[in-house]
Amino acid sequence: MFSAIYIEEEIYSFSRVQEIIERYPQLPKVKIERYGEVFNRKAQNFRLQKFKPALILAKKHNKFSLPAPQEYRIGEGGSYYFSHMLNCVYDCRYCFLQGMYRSAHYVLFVNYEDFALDIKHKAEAQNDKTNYFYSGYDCDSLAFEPLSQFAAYFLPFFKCHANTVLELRTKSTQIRSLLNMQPIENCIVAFSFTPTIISQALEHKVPSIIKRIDAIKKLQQCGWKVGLRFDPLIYDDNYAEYYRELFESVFNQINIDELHSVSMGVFRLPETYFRNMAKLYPDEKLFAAKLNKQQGMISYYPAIEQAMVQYCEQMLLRYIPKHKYFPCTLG
Amino acid sequence: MRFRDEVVISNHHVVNHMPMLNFVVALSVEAKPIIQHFRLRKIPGNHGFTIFSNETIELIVSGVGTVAAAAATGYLAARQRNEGAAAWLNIGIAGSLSRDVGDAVLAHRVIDATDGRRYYPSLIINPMCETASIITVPKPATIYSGDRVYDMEAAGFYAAATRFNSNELIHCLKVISDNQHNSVDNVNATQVHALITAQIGKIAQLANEVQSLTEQLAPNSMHTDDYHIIIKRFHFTVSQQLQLKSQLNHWYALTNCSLLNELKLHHCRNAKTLLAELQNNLDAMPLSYQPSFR
Repeated sequence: MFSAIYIEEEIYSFSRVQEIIERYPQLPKVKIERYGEVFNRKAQNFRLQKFKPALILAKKHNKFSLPAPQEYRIGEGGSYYFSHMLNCVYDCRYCFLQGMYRSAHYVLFVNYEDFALDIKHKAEAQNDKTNYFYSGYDCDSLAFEPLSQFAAYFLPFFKCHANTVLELRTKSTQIRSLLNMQPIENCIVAFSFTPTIISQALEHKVPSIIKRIDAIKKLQQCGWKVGLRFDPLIYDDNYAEYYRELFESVFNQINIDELHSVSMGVFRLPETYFRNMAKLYPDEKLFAAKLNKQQGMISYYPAIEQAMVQYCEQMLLRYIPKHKYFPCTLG
Repeated sequence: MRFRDEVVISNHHVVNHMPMLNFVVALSVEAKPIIQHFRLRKIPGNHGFTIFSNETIELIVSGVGTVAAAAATGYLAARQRNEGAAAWLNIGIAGSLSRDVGDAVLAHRVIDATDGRRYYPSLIINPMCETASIITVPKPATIYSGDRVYDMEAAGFYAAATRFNSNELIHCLKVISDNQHNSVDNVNATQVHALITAQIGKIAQLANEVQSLTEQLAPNSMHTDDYHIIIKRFHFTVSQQLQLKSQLNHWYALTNCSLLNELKLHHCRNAKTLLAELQNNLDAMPLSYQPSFR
């Protein structure tokens, strides 16, 4: 699964670290001082590393949670995102991580207790509000669960903090640890979708839509709150047909009444990330599409974007009430 | 006559974008088994170094030490001016406290003993032998410690090679020639030849692995052929060359076909009109993610 495991010396003796490295006796293990020695250095190629990334076990020292971008929010109150991990098991061609990092190695920050303390302080500082904490910005929240035990640690923690909401954003079907515990009120498991044709072309290694819908059904049956994220919307000449089929397929199978929220946002990237990504994958259709640069962001031309959003919103609102819909529009 | 024919006939221009594999080896005696295995031939001329090659591989005999290794690496890179990716391997003998003479080790870390700099080759290849930290020392090591492997070139080689390519394609493989029981003073040329020869299978495996990685990054041959034919036809400014490259990328992404086989460009009078024509075609191109499309 990994090419090697790099371990920061400071955390080598952590039981969480020892449990992980014991699972891979055959892999080279290299002690390092700080993860930055290996991760994101010059002369690294994200595309090549993606074939066989290394696992880097590290300690995060600061900035445990940060204010969430405006377009990411699904509720009023404090909004923060936090990343226990950098990089993702999946290989989605539209993902900004490819443009942001030179390394495809996975960095797992194992000091969950420090993240938890930071979240606790933030929640206590605004105890008159609901505070949203989004996980899955720099990684998939659940794809690494068997190894990271991230949800297994954080769900009981969030359960004890009533004025917080945890969003686990994922494309994964690794839901066993959730099914093995009682659902908690203040957690939303948010699944991302693109239509099948687009998913097969651009979302490499991602579980099929059928499997993800199946995971949603299981979670809903057990009482977990589920959200849907149609983000990014990807243009294809047949987008209307593809998104209509996707919405039909998803909403006909899940329990809409129990659905927490639905959000939708068009494909957009900071220009610098886009340039890096297009250089990595020069033969990729996504980057050859007619794209527009505006205020340092790359996206579709406004006419295409508006037509897609309008159409998809119209379709969506046939299935869900408006109060459950959160458009991801750039502020 | 087609656009492609005109240009080929007028220029007889053949561009070779075959991914290269480069060996940097300190001593002739270390290089000889590699030269024999890959059937390399000496490149005549005054290069400052002895260089051997075949169609896809070059080997430079650098001499001993980090400065020599870095200079040889830089010389080979500058000489090739390869537009595509190239892989780099540093092969040689090394010392160790406890490893057996004859063992091969692949570097998972290279440390420069003189300044403490550390390099981490990405091990995305399947290691064909154990991996270890290699510490590059300025003089032959006679006192060894820990699990490290001692050599005299890896750090110089690595620092130079990473200026030209990414670290997934740059590796150091060392064969243990001396340890606490077998002093470096007793190592002779015959032994070195035998040690490298005994590990030539692993060296070849490493070469295969990195070469297949470089192929992943090799530019689309249709693209490079079309590009070189087109820029010979008209004068392109640097900015127009970049624009052409970008448009060709888009063309191949959307069509997976050679531009010159698909598009008639005879009527284009200069680079500007050609780029405009190509852009018009791109703008009119459908976008579909259907696998059967194009």
